[in-house]
Formats: sequence, C-alpha cells, structure tokens
Amino acid sequence: MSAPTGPDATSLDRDVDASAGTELPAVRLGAAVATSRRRIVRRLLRRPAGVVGIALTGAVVAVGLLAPVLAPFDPFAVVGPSLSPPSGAHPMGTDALGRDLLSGVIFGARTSLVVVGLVGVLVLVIGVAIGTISSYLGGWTDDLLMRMTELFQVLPRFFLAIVVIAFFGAGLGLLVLVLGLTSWALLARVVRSEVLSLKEREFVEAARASGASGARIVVQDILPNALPAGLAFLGLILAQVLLIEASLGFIGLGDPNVVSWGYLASQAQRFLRVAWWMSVFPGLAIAVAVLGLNLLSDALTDVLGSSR
Amino acid sequence: MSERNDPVLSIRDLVVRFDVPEGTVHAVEGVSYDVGPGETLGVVGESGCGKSVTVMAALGLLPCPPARVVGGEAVLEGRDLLRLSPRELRSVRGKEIAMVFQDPMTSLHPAYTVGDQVAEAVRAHDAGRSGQAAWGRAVELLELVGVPDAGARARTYPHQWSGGMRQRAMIAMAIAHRPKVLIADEPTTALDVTVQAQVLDVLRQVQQETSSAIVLITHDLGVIAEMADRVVVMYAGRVVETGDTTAIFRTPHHPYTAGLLACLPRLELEGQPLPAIPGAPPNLVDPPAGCAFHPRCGLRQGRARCVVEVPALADVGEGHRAACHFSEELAKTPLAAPPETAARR
Amino acid sequence: MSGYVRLRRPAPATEVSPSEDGALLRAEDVATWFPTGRGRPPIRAVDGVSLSLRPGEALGLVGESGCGKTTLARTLVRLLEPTAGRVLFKGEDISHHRRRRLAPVRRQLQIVFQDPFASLNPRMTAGDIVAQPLRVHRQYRHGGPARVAQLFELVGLDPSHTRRFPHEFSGGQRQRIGIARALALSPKALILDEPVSSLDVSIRAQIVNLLDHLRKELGMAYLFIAHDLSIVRHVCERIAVMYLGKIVEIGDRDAIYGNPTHPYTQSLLSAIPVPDPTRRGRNRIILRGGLPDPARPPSGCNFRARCFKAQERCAEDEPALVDRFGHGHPSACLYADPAVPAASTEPA
Repeated sequence: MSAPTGPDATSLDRDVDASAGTELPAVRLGAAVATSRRRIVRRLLRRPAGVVGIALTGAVVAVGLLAPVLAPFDPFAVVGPSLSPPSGAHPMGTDALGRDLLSGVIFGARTSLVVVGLVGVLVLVIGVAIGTISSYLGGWTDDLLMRMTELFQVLPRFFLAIVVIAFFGAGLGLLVLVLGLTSWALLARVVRSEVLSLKEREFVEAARASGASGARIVVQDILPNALPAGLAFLGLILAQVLLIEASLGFIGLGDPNVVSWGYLASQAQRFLRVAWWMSVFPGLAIAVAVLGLNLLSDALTDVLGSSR
Repeated sequence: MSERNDPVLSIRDLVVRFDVPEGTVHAVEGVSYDVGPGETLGVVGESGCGKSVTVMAALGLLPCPPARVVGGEAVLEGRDLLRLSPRELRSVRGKEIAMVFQDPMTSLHPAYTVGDQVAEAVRAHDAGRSGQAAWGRAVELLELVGVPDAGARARTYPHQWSGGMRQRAMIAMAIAHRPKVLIADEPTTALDVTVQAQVLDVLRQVQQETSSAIVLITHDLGVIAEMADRVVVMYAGRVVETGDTTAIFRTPHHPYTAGLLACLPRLELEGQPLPAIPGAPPNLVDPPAGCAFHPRCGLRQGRARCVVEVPALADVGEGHRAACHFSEELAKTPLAAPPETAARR
Repeated sequence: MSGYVRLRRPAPATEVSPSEDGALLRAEDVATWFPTGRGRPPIRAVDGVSLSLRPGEALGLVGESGCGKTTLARTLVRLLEPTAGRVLFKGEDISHHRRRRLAPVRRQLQIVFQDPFASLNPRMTAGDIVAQPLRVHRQYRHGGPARVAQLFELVGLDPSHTRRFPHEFSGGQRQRIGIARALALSPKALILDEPVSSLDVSIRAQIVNLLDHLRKELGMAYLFIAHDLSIVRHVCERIAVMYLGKIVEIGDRDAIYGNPTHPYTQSLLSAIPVPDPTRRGRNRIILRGGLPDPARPPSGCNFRARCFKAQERCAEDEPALVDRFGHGHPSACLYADPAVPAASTEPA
C-alpha cells in the first residue's frame, strides 16, 4: 500500500490507503482533554481572566525577582525629604523618615514572592503527598490521615502565627514554616478527591493489568492527572497566604529585617490624612498580587477542567 | 412506494456550524430530507455525520453559541421552525413534534416520580387540565407503552425503573399530545439487545395508535432494516443516499452505503477478513475538498472530479437518490477498497 | 482486598469439560461477589463459572449488561480476586497471588479494554503508553524504542506518531494503541473486553480484521467478550453464553448459532436485529420482565422468572451445565430443546 502523499499526508494510518485526518470529536463541548503545556497557555490567553491573571501575577513575580535592579534606592536608606508626595524623584513619595516608597514597594514584592513561593512549595509537597497516599491506600490509612487533615483545617492560622511569633520572635523562616505547615489541608482534600476518582479509571486498571506497582501507578498515571486541579487550587491558597503575611506585617509581627507591604501599610496608619500615598501604594500592591493570583487560579481551573 | 402527500416535516438545505477553539466545525452542510405523514424514516450514519445535530437544530435545541444555524429551513406543516420565536417554538415542541433521546438514565429527573414527570408533559400543552386528570392521562399513556401495573409504578422514582422501562416512559411523554412527528435519537443504543427489541415494538405500537411519523436516528443498520420505511444515509454532514429501505439494502448506489453494508459480519464471510472501509470519518473542522468520502472511497480510482466537485443528490431509481459522481459503476465494482491488512513487518 | 465475603456454597453446579489438559487459562467454578454492606446480601456478579481456554483458540463470551462478563474478565486477569473457585494459568493456581508472583503470568496474559479513551492515560504519549508494560517488566532498556515502533506497525499505526497524545488520535486508532500495549510482552492469551463496542461501525470491521489477523499471526488465544453476537460469530470458534453470573450454554460456533438449546440463548439470538429488510416480521421471542437483582437471584434456575418454558421444578433445582439430551453441547436447562414452541414467539 502506498504511503500517504500530498494534502492527505495528515494520515495516521500508514498502511491504509486512506488520507482521512484525525477525527475531531465534533460536538464534545466541554470535554476534558489532555493538553500539553503550550496548549494550556494558549487557552489561558484566550480568557480575559487568564490574561489579566498572568499579567498581574507575572508583574509581581518579575518585580520581586528583579528588585535589586529595579529599585532606585535602598528601601531602608533615608534619601529624601520626609512625607513628600509622589514626584519625579520619588514616584511613590517618601515615608515619615524620608525613605523612598517605590523601593519599599518593590522590595516588598520580593518578600511576598519569597514567602508565597516557599509556602507554596511546602503546601504542595505536604498536601499532594497526604492527599495521594490517603486516597490511594484507602481504608484506615485514609481515615486516619483525613482526621488529621481536618484537625489542621480548623486551626486558626492567623492566631497561631501570632502566638508562635510571640514566643519565638518574628522572622521570615519561622513565618514560612508556620504558614506552610498550616495551609496544606484544603489542598490535600482537593487532591484526594481527584485521586479517588482517578483510581477507578480504566487506564489505571490497565497499568495494574500490566503488573505496575502502586508507586509507579501513582507517579506515572495518577499524579500527572491529579496535579493540574491541585495547582489551580494552590493559587487560591497562596492568595490567602499573601493576605495573612500582609496582615501580620501590618500588626507589626513581620520580619523587621525585610520590607514587606504589610509593614509599609502599618507605617502609614499614623499619616493616613496627611500622606495618602503611604497607604495607597502598598495597599494597591497587595490588591494587585491577590487579584492576580485569584484570577489566574480561576482561569487555570476552567482551562484544566477536572480530570474527569 | 406510493407517492407521498405533502411531507409533514421538511428539512431543506440546512447548514449548521460550531465555533470551537480549534476552528469551525462544519457539522451539517446542506442537508435536505422529507418526512411523510405516518411513515418511519430511518436516518443512519456514524458518529460525527450530523444526524443528531440536524434534528436538534430543527427543534432549536442546540446551544447557540457555539452552534450557529447558518442557513436552511425546517418546515413543519407549513411553518419554518427555524424562524419561530422561542415562545412559538416552545408551543410546538412536545405538541406537534416530540423527541426521545438516547440515554434514558439521564433524561428523567431523579427527584420526581415518573408519573409526575409524564403528567407534567401532559400539562405542558394543556394547562387547563386538573392535576388529577393529568395524572390519569399519565397512567393511561404508561399503559399504552406497556408498563406493567402502570398505576402503581407511576408513583415510583426513576432510579427504580430499568433502562428499558425508562425509555418507555420517555416515549409516553413524547406521545402525550399525539405529535405529528416523533423523533427518536438512538433510542435503543444504550439498551441491551433483548430490551431493544421490546422498545422498538413499543415505538411501532405507538405509531399505530397516534399515526405519527417517526424519524429514527441510529447507527445500527439492523434496526433500520426492521423499522424504517425509507432511509436517509448521512456522512460528514451531508446526505449521501436516500430511498426505500429495500432498495437501499439491496442495491445501494453510494459507495459509503455499500461499504457500510459490506462490513457487517455475515455467515458467508466466516474465516475471511471483513471488507472494511479504510480510514476514518473526517475531521469536520477541515473536511476534505469535494466529496467528503473521497479519501476512503474504493470507487474513485484517482479521478479528480471527486476532489473538485461536491456531488449532488441525483435520482438513481424510483424514489432513490444518491450523491456520487459514479454511482452507476457501483454495481460493477467490488463494494469497497480491498480489506485492510496489518502492517508489513 | 478487604471486604470479601466468606462464602458458603453448595457443591459446584457445573461440570468441567474433561479435555482440559493443556488448557492455557482455566476458571474452575469461579465466583466473584461484591459486598454491599452489613446485613445486605452481596452482589453475585460472577456466580460459579467454569471454562477453559486452549492455546490458540478463540472463545467468545456473550451476554447482556449485568451478566457479569466484565467482572469475569477482570477476575481472570487478576484485577479482581475471586471470592471462591480457582483461576489457573498453565495449571498454576493464580487466584490469590500477589502482584510480584503474578509478574510472569502478566507477561503471558493480557487484556484489551472497551473504552478506547478511558483506557489510555490522557497525559502520556502513545509511545509511553505502549512502553509501560515493557518498563514495568524491565524489558525497555534493550531495544525498547524499537519494540514500540514495531508494535505500532503491527497494529497499523504510524511509528512516527509515538509522541502524540491520545486525544490526537481517532477512536479506532486509540483502540489500536490499547491493543499494541496489550501485545507489548508477547502474551500467549488475550482477554478482550468488548474491544469494538465503542467504535463506529465502519471502524469495527477494521479492528476485527486486525484482531483476527494478529491472533493467527502470533498464535494467541482469545477470550472475546462482547454483546454483539454477529461479531463474536465471525471471530470465535467456541461460544459461551452468560446470564446473571453463570454460563448457561457453551459450545462450538455452529452449535450455538444453529442449534441453541437454552431458552435464553434462543431469545438472545431471536432479538438481534437483522440488517435485511426482507426478514422483517419474522417471529421473535419476547422476554418478559427485566434482569433480576444480582444480589437476590431467583432460586433454582436464575432465568426462570423470564423463561417461556419454566416449570415448577425450575425453582427447586439449579440446572447443571451439561448435555442432558445428547444435543452435542452443554446447556444449563432442565428442558433444553432446540425447538421453540410457537406460542412463545410473536411476529416482529
């Protein structure tokens, strides 16, 4: 039989003398289809939520990463007249000590980036591990782990953080640890429910029929299908973490050695009426970051669908 | 087949497209067929051929967007359904024209009794009827479709009914107002073969009672042979052949129809490969030029006309039409391309 | 594997075929029951099935939904553990083997699933899917990619497409991927669970041809499970008919299609729509009622509630799968008879 030639070369059936292209499931509206990363990005960009989410989050990440390069001044250095409104030299004005606010906001982005990034890693690792092990093994393991998860779910994170910081002193490392160890519960639940449904899918059965071990099945078959939904949810969790971090900074429990948006906002309290820029810009920054993360998560959830 | 009176439903040059991220799906590309009063018209084709989309478009059941009815008409007793307002359409749906869907498991509401749901169908176009009277009529309809002990069973819930019974209930709802046309979209595909026989029987019975025309959409040629008076064969959004059931089965005039019939397992073919149609149904976002079937056609033999010109439905016999440039040659050529053999190693 | 019921069952009601020497795969009175909670009777998906598959033969298993054929398939391939009875592969009892001990068996006994989309991991490339069994059994390191390419060619797929994802293939092609995966380790026996039911009619013939060809080329035995009797007849030499967890009739292809003696087989055969309009109006057996609850099968013969010739005795004695009247093949009916009384049929 001849090989396909010409415009019909899209044939996937080499030995069949036919040149039909792939059959499109024409009216499968809303079906969940596996997508490679490029397709995910393309689909995200088609949605307004996706575009704005990527833009905002991307901006914050970029600013945070490039902080030393972007910031015009050292945020702790006194470089101008105190309480001066936004001007050419200081686009976001200066604070009570004469420190440049723009540099403060830029380095604040870096702090938030570090906190959210590290907490994100912790939450992802713990949440996915517990959610996956719990549902895959089932039985009493599942019961035990889920009760533990519920316990962590009801812990009042904010107050716990306050108590811990009161005991052990403020510091970024401790903050990350506390937030990371208390924010994974919801992610574990989401991952668990994804894995529960994936467990019963035929391709998992097929892997078992080949003789694959539980570990291999989890890594090759289950996780890649469960992670996308988990990642989308992670975005929401991290938005919350960001707010908590800002709030802690606001009440003065943040790490005093770094600039954070919460700290900047707390500084602004006394000068609310005379120096509006001190509260508005850090506040805007927080809003932008949280909004960006939320929109990105929403769009990701839509695009990735559930693995069903 | 005697000459029909005016058709009760007439689909003319219907074009329906879907806008999806991958592009535009040409789901229905100029489909026309008529349904005569009281007849059973079988519409047969494989997945993606547009047989369901055609009737869903006619009934206004497609989500628009992403669907778009680009052109054509669907005339039910003189009124073009595609030009009616949503309100007018609602008054016609369920009354003059009704539909039974494929999956009886999901077509019924789980939280209401079956009797209530049938009664609701009764009241939908007869608001004046009292609740009691509607219930009575509902039980009557369920008896008509052969539900044993209908009075008591009507008080139970869908999950307590088997697939075949649920499908009967759907049929009961569809015929509540003696529609002129009953559309059954793959009504037995989800059912076991023994239950299928029962449900097809019910359809026949119901047709006798109400004199409705039935449009029976299916991919199963056996069901077509058993039930249909006339057949419409669809492929890739177009009608490729239409005619009497006997004529279609005995002397198909389109290579796709012939190929479909040939690939069914038969006693005489034991031990030999089945004459399969090579390739697969086309991608409707980017359909082949000219005749949509040409990439798989054994009759084409490299002729350019098939790629250049879309064949029109032409008469090939009494009431029998086929859309193929070379349909006369079909009788003389083997039915389909040589059967596929596995790869050379 | 917790939760299986301790069974207390009567003596086996079936007779095992005497010519089972050298049978590749054997089920001996296999039962697979699913618990439904405390105090409630378990679902008897498979309720005492004995059959044997000889090397190179094609055995068809037909039955409607709820008859247990899918559960039987999974039990034979040890995705499920039988609640009672034994599953033997080449004489070795594999009924309760753990994964490790099953490894050599898995190399020789594989399964093809029904749904060509659900049975492929949507996030793995086609090549990786086919390579998975090779990797699991540590056969990928030496010539793995070449083997995958060879398998692709074997099932009629273009080897350059190994890096595509399942959604980029059509239904028929996905099923070919599933078949290639099942063939990766060169099994001697293949269980096919409705391999073509989800495919379009025109594609079915292609895949049936492929399966037929592969069996003869590679000398495999097939257990071909389907509800489409015409396809089963085309592919298989022997047929077993299953109803509510039990085999009700088993025999050569010609015996079953030409001379069925069990009333269920007869009903099944008469219900198939025939693609021939001239045969419209032929008499058909219409079954009363629906499938009984598999947790509460009727006493005695489990078909008696719908049977057109049920007698009192049918409620008391469970009919063994034997050839009582010398018809030539076993049938689980106390009144097995190839003739069907006209009164039990109706014109179609």
